[in-house]
Amino acid sequence: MGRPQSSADVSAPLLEATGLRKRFGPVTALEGVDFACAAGEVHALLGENGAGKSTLASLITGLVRPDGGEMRWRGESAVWRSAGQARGEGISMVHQHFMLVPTLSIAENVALARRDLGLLDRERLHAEVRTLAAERRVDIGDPSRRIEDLAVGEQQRVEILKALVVPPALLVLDEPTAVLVPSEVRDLFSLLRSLVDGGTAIVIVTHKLAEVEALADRVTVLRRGRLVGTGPASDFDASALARLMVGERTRTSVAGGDAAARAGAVVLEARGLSWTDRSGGRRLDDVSLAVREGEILVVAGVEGNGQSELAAALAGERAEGLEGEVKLCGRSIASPAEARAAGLAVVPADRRRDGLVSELALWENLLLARDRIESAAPRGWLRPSEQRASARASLEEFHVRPADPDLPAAALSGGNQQRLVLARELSREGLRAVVAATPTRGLDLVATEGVHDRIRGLARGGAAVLVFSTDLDEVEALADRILVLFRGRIVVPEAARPERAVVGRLMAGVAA
Amino acid sequence: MSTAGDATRAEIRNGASFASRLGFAAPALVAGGLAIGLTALFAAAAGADPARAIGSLLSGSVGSGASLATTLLRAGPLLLTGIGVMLAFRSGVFNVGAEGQLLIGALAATAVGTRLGAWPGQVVLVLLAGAVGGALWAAIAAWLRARRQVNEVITTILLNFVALYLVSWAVAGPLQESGRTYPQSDPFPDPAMLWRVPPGTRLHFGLVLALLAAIGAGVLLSRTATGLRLRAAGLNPAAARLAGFPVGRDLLLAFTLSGALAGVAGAIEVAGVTGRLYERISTGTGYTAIAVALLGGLRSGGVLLAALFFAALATGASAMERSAGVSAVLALAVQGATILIVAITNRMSWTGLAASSGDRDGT
Repeated sequence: MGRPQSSADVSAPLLEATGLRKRFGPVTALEGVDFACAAGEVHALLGENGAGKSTLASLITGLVRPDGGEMRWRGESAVWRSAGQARGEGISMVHQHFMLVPTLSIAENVALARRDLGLLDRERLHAEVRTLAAERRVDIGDPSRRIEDLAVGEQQRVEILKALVVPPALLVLDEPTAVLVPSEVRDLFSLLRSLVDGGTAIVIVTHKLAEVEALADRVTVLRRGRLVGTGPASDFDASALARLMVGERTRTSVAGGDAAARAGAVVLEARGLSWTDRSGGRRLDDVSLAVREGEILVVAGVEGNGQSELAAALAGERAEGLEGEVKLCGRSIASPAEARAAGLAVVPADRRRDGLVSELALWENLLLARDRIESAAPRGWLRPSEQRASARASLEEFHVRPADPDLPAAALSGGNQQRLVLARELSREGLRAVVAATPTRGLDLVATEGVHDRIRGLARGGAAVLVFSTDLDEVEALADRILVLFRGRIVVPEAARPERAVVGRLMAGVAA
Repeated sequence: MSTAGDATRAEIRNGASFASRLGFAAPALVAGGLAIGLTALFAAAAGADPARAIGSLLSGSVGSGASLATTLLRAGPLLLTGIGVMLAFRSGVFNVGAEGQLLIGALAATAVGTRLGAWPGQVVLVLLAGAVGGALWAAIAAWLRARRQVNEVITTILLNFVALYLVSWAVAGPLQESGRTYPQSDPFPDPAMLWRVPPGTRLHFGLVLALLAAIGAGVLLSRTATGLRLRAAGLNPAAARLAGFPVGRDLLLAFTLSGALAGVAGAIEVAGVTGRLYERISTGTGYTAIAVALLGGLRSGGVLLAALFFAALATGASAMERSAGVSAVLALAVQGATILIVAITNRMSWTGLAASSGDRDGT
């Protein structure tokens, strides 16, 4: 179990940060976080989405500046004014989203990171990049190939080679395995190990526990912007890390469980859903599930195990190559339009991308569902003044601040945007089923309770509810029945409502 | 909670309402002032008297009844095509094929106007033919985009050339005048010509139509469920899909409506001004329309002002050439420089475009 340790016992820390604090507007991203890493070791930075790990990585690499706290680099106080300055001091970063020019060759992309490479003499450039790749032991193959023709894993190696053009003392990798297939992950890890053997310090940002076990010497766990555990990786086992990541707060209100009394016919059903992404990663693997009338089914899982893919499929999206079938009220669903028509409400995982239109006013955003716009404008005419009035009531009911229907959605904070989507999706009439992905992300405790109450109310009213959750508290508070999604597969616990420790272990992929 | 945050939001709101109420006029008004200044500058650089150049630019575009009429006649097709482009861009459809759609509209209108005899009320069918011609021409690109994911920027531009050569062929072939002398159509019979509004002037009913189209498009976008769906799809196609909106159908609708408006622009040019179809019936109206739509901030009112501005500049330039001895080519330079400066100083219309053209098919 992770007792928070002081970082003083790290031998000769290369980078040492104490009391780091960072706010983005009203959101505290980091509060009083200590962090240290030493040459020749891999430090895993672990946490859920929104835990603050990317913010910490950005502070270390100079992408953003801290609001408080102190950073020391090679023992001396350091304040990075820019990522370029940090780079000059020997800190490189490999971003989750590659910073490559797809139409240029490998060699040209590498040359962009190092201006003294002769851009005009192609032959010499290729030879130099080949030599560089051999020296750094990064296997990139033929450097004349274009980036867009490479597999994702190869692209990442180019990105890493770019970061190694001038050998860094510290290399930060943000979610490096998010896009890789297992064989590519193995290649990446052996590359990272050879770098560490050469004395480089590596910080790897991740939420995958297996990677911590496979690679890390030390681990730091963040939750909600705070340090919840740090120490040698050997001190933590996977289930301890899982508990630290998802939290162990106890809560008074525990409801649900009486579903057996009210569960009726199957409303929402998935059969044999499988989907393989372009790089060959199997994101969904033969997923089947059924949600009954009046029941709340919670699919628990650590992010990145297929939740967003499954949620999209259940919402009616037919991604290219999706196998299997989704049925709503017995009818096969082939598009979001059909799903909506059959009475489905959807709270998407990425609400900014899928749930709202930032430029449109709040009242317009409240109409962004087929049935809503049809009932608001039965003959096709919007009546903006009426819509504004009913929007205001709805915004107030869901505590959207400010409850001004004319504001563009972009003016709201993340939590309020979340409430906006909930206000649209959860207050609809004639709901038969709800698919809600992490419905309370970004909400405070009181608001979370409110949303949970409403979800329970919908189930009592006969809706079939499916909630994706990464938070054990939420799983416990809502679930009539629990399934776990791990690496695209559904794991069925032995009990309908297993103990939270069991759920945590299943989420971490540890056999119960 | 946070009063600072609330204050910021209030500012955002005020900014938004200012932009939506007054902002649409700003780019076109700024452009007008800029054009006058730039004309003076360029004329002086070309060795002419700047004051005289500006004088003739103004009097030649809006200074007399005749010049005003010429300006308005030019503004009609610009407004129709500009509104068409606006509708498309707001819906996330990068239709840059207004030129081709206008030409096919003119072609179809001419076929009905000169090959089906002469009968009362014929002009109604002429206009309808223009609309249908433009719509069908746009529908080719719309279908390719919706069913085959072919980028409409490429298809619409290429279809512009196809349309141009179709007109060339038609005026030397099936639609050529009975005398078979020049590459042009027969003149339109009287009942196929647009009504003069007001009577006795050169102005015609097509200008009324253009104004109605501008109002109608504004109402469609801001007051109807369809308009909200179109705007949502234009700004965030992924959210529109998930909302269960018929995004494919809406895309076809926006595209063909845009084409229909350009087609009507072609029809009112042949049935209201020239009375015949020529090879060079359009002098790039459909391309200028893109600048009109963008300068107008993709809002009806703004597009109206921008169309008037471009029309006045073109008309005034020819007057300037006649009376101040400054080449009309200078007007093109002024036009280009004005668009550039407005685009740089007012990013609104362009960021709106970026939002609508980026990530359209987000599947």
